[in-house]
Amino acid sequence: MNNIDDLKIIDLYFERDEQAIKETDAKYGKLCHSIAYNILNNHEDSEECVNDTYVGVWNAIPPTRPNNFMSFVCKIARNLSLKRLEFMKREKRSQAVLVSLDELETVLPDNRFAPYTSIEELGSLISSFLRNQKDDARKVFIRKYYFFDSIRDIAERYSYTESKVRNMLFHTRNRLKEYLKKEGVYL
Amino acid sequence: MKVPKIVDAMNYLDDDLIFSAEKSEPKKVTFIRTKHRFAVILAAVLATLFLMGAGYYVNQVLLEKVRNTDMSQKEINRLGNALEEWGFSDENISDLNELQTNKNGLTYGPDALGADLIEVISNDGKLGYVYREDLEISERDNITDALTSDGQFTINVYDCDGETVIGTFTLTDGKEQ
Repeated sequence: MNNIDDLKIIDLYFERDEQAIKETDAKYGKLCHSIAYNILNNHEDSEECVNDTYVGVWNAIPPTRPNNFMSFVCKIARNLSLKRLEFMKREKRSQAVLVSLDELETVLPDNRFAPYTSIEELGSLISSFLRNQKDDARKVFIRKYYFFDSIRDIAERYSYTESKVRNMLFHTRNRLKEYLKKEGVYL
Repeated sequence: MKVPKIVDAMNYLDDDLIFSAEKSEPKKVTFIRTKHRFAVILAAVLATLFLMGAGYYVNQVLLEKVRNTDMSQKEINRLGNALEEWGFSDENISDLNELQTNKNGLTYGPDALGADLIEVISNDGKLGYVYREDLEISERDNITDALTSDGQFTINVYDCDGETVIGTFTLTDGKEQ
């Protein structure tokens, strides 16, 4: 759900007013940068990703009118950061995010991914799964595998111990794996 | 390296899920960090137990000190309450535990500790001692004989040696004045 500020920003995009990018930067620049930095672990690359995000948003709106502008911007920033990560040399990659990717891949390795299921459907299934999880487990999972926050940051954010966060993630991953098997996505 | 499909799929999470995770308010930072909370609580519990134990120990010491006297339970309770009220600790009362002994082998000190020579203030305001048996005359059958015409009787007050008379101590009808 967009708030009034977001609606105004979206209107600026529709009016092709470059003020829209400045407003987006003022409101979500820090968030985009943190997502990119969590993935790339490099301020320069992150900054470029954030700028690319604004270009992406500019190109997408219009015609798209996102229902949730914040999530929309986050998705673009995350997607672009992951794409950039693929092209970075290994030594420049963020070790933390590689661990996160590996952890998620154990839930559903690509070679076990049912070919007749689309990425969008898988995303939708994960959403359904997360809705049935406890609020704290769900938020921790999203902070880790969507925003790629470090374990320490998540622990600080929710006043948990780091071991508790690891434990929560471990159990949520296992439950997700079982869920995906049950749904026939994990072959 | 290729980003796993499941990671890509996470990009298609429902907006409201992402929104709620992003907007989730961090818990207020308390003065005790989570990782220290257990240690602080444990320390507080141990400190409480220690204080309770120390209090119990002091009470036991007090009780032990008066148990062997001929005080009634009511008097013992009253003394205990008074000591507690005055803030006596084990250290404060340690000296009460040791009655002094004079050259004749007689103990002298507070009545409550069962001294042979009981500490009193003489009629003329000097610190001295009276023999327990002299003081307890009021409880004996011959109290009537000991009383003067005005219902009083007087006993000698001695120095701690139990020999040197330094004054007198007057009782009335068996009760201290």
